[in-house]
Amino acid sequence: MSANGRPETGPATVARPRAADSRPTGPDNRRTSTGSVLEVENLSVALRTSHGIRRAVDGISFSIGAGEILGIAGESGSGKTLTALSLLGLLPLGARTSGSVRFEGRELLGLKRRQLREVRGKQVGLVSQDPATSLHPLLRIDVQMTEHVRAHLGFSKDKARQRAIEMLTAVRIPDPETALFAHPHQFSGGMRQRIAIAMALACEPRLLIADEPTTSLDVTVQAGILRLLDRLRRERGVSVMIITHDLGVLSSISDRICILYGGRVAEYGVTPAVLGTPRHPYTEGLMRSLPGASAAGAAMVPIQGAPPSLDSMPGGCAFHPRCEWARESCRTTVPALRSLDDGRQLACDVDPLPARPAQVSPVGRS
Amino acid sequence: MSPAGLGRFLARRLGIGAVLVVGITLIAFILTHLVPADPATANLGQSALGDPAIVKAFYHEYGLDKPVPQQYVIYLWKLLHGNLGMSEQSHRAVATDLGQYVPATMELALFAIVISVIVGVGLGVLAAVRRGHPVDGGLRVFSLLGVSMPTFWVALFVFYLFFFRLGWLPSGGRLSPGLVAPARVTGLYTVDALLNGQWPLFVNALRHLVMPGAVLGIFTVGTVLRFTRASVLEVINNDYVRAARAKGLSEWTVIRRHVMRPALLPIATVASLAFGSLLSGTVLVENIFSWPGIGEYAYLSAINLDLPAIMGVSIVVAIIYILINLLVDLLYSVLDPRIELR
Repeated sequence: MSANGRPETGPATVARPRAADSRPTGPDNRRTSTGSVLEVENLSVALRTSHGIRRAVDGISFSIGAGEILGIAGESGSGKTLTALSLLGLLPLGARTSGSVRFEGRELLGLKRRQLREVRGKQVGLVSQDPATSLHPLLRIDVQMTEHVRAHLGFSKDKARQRAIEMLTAVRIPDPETALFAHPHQFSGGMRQRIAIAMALACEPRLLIADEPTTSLDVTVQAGILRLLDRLRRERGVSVMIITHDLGVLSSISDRICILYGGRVAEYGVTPAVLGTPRHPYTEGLMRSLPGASAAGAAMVPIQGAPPSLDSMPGGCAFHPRCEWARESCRTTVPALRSLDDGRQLACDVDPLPARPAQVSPVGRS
Repeated sequence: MSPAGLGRFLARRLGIGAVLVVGITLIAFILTHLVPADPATANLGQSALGDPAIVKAFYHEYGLDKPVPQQYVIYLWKLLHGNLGMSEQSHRAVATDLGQYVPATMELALFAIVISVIVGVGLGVLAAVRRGHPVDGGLRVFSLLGVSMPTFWVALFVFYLFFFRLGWLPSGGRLSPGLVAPARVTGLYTVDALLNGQWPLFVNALRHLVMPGAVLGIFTVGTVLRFTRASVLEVINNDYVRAARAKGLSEWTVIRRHVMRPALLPIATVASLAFGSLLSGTVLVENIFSWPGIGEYAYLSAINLDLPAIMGVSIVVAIIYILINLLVDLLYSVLDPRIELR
């Protein structure tokens, strides 16, 4: 298998120096020099459904270095949002987590509520998908921007308000002093998401979890939010975990990327490698279904079928019913996650993927 | 909302309210005249009824010998001058009667609504936060009992227990016999006693309020509890509540600031409706606890076909309803900045 894989690693190794060039501080260098802010190991989340207890997240591991942007991608139901919520203990009632989540060396799973509150908002900020619903519609911006600053940092009202103005300026809200006295419905969607990000950053957390931060926004506004996240991590050194189903979003700003399918890691590695030469059929399918990502003239090809639901998770490799290269063994054996030469991790036994007539063009940073 | 905008809103709403009051006098007037009964039969004695001259004099005295439309116009004209007419049973001006009885009822009704909304909201939040827990189950049974127990039965039960058996509370009336009402400011004895610094009198008036207030309010407690529970559960799963938790706020702050604010909107409506049914409940409760209020007065004027008194009570109740609705609309705009008063 690995002998067969040699020719295919060619393009990947070619792609790597390119990535290193465009990124002076490569993610791998950063990790070794400053260590990980967040280390998730063998994380599982079990939910109670009408059919019994089901594992929605099944033993996933990843890490985020200081100032790094990690993308977590997958279709709905792949477990990406549950992963994010489990880090902060915000899962719905009845959900059970196991494994390990270490934030700056401290284990978060199993923390008491009071201890968890110290982490939430203060050390880890959360930005939700839709700013129209995640900002409180009835509370003024100043209340929402200062309440956690005052609670966590013990700031006076004036000092917290100063901090809020500072943050609103950082996310480029025009006239922040006036904005403080407005309500969320007086802002556009993009402005609201900027405010939500400013809010999440107000206590200067080390990690920002952004759950589909651009999904509900216009494409032009999306780009602005992504540039903002990129700038914030460069200027403030905050690590960012972006959860999305849109690989286009990740290709432009994430350092590394973790593709989830059916609650497991399918492929995990440096962004240009994973997106440039996908080695998992699912990643490849996602890339092919992306408008504009395929080679010029190539039609965008959706992945056949629908993602599995919790109650009908296929045996073996969860992706096999939708995989055009699935073999007999894929139906019975869960493929082990293994490391490849280029540092990526892959959970697929069909390797290399057979070549296509219309090859997927490498997508990197533009 | 600008002060000028608020002023325009109030002027508009009070104008509409005045039209409504006139409309209600018309309906009440027609209804009272549709009743196939003779006020003379209800108000005159057996021998007086036998004398046509006396009956005629009675009709003339109260203007009943004129055609009905003319009677109505006369009534409206007098109403415009603040004259509500003379009561046929008390032989006093209806305005004087109302001035005496309305404050008593308002004291009882306000006490009942304030206590029951506080208790109902508190228990409703508790039930919602502990949903699925035995506490929740117990509270649901309690609220079901509250809304389904007949008022007269509850009244007799608490009367038996707290007055007859335990002797903790007085049996009825607004003050113990021999006590003099405080100098009138608002007409609410508890408030007036406090304003005058008469502490023992305040306690006495409050003790008289407890039983009728509780009996009157228990239905409201049940209703408010159920609506609060539902309203809180609806709000608590919102993204913005999760966002508040993700900010590391204490659960109490999350509930108080982020959940209660939006949850209170429907509760305000329910409470205002409950206040309406509570007012009609005063008829029974005031009767049982000898509370000299408008409920008792309305009952007596209805069975005696005391037309001016019935009209007076209708107008007062209409004004109370209109003011309550206005208050709820104002409360809405305070709670939700997106709501514009128009």
